[in-house]
Amino acid sequence: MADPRSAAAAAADEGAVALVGRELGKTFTDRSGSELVALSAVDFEVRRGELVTLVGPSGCGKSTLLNLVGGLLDRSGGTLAFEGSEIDRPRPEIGMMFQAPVLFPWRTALDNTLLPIDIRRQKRALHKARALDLLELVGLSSFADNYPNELSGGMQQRVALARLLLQDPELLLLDEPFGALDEFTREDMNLMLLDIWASTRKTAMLVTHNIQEAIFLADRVFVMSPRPGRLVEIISVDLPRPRTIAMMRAPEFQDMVFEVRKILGAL
Amino acid sequence: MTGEVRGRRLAQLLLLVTLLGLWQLAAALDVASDRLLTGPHEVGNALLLLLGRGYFYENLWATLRVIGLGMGIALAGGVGLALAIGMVPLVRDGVYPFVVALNILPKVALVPLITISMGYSYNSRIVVVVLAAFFPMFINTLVALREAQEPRDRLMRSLGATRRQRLRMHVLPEGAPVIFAGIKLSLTVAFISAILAEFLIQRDGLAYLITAFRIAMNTEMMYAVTVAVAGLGMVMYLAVDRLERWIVHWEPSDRPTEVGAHG
Repeated sequence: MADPRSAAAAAADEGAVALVGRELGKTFTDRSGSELVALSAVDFEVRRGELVTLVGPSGCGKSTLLNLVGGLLDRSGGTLAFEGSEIDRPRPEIGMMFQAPVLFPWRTALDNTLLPIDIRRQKRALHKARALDLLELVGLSSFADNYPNELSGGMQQRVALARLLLQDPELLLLDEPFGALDEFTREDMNLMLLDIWASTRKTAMLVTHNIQEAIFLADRVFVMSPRPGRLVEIISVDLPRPRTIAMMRAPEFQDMVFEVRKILGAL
Repeated sequence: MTGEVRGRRLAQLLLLVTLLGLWQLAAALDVASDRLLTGPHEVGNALLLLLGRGYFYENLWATLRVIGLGMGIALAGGVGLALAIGMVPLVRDGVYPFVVALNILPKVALVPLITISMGYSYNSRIVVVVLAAFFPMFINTLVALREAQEPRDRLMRSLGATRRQRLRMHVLPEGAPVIFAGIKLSLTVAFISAILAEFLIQRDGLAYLITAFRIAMNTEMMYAVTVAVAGLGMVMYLAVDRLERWIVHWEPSDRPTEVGAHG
């Protein structure tokens, strides 16, 4: 059993604001000099340990927002801070996962998982056991020595997830992580993701264009509209956890799907 | 799979035997004068004789040395220079068309110019080889750097990789197949240029040996040296191919095919 005082402290800690964006904007300028407003005046907060999903049609700037938080893009306006410090470049406590697994074909599943360790110039030997544990967690224990081209798309994405977990960031940024997978695999992966999130209680932002998925995973859903990308509505999802597939049939769930659809359709 | 490979090998062997047979037949039927055409049997004997002679190895070494030094300088220079400018898109894209234009120029056309400044020397031959081998090496390395995939680079950056780490852990391995295609192309043009330079700037080397036997009207030995030249080319190419398969041990998404060479 954990010390009750520290557990209480952790509970108090949870719910504190971790990520804040104010008047956040991003304008791209293409070669001909014409401007595209990808994001305009976005205000949001994400609390520690919260799972927020971003949903909206393509071109609504949800990936742009995630890339800004990841420090991969420079914002054109506004402020953006994680745990009180401004985000102006990629940070080790913020980890990203993309729609494509983005594995390196010359590295085995294990070596791909260990990539963050190599980049931090830490000793592999100290992290190998944990990497293997994580591969087991994502159901790939017998594939550690396989190369990516020997793995299916879903398995490759599991390696990417193991790599993200080995990096052990405080904030997970997931950009349509299972968008390229088939329906069944995606459902499996979503449930696995929820399990992992529940056991680590990391703060997470997940981008998707699937409304059901957005609601099923989230504590809160950020609904975004395109051209210019804006945050038009925030919906709290009060379904109990752990979530089950059966909950997707519940009337409250259907109501929320309808609500999001109405917001997106009315725009 | 193994059966398929065996079948292919058998077909190749059959073709070789057929060609050698036709060659021997043509020689036996005196299709052309003995000075022009001599049979594989005679050439084989001449080759054995050649392989027992010290002067063969001296000239082989001369050719190898020019190719080796030329390739070494071209490889170091081509890869080094590409790495120096390749990570700066503006410089890289500015330089690229000029390099492609220079690559089109057949470098042996520069032999008269080179001999004016450096004479009919050993060094002149090395310069020809370096000029020929440098451009494919440089161009392919530039292409390898340019085509490093964006999503992988995004991941590397999100993990906080430094520029050197991005180069070493992502760009170079991903570009290795293209760089190796460059090495093979370089080697091919280096070999052609080295042999041509030996014909044009006589001193020693295998091509010099061919000329010497031509003057001596020893057709069998001329053929034997030619076969040795072909063999040398094959050995060098296969060595690079082996090295590539050892280094690029994974299955690249697309193994690049080589484009036409300009000597």
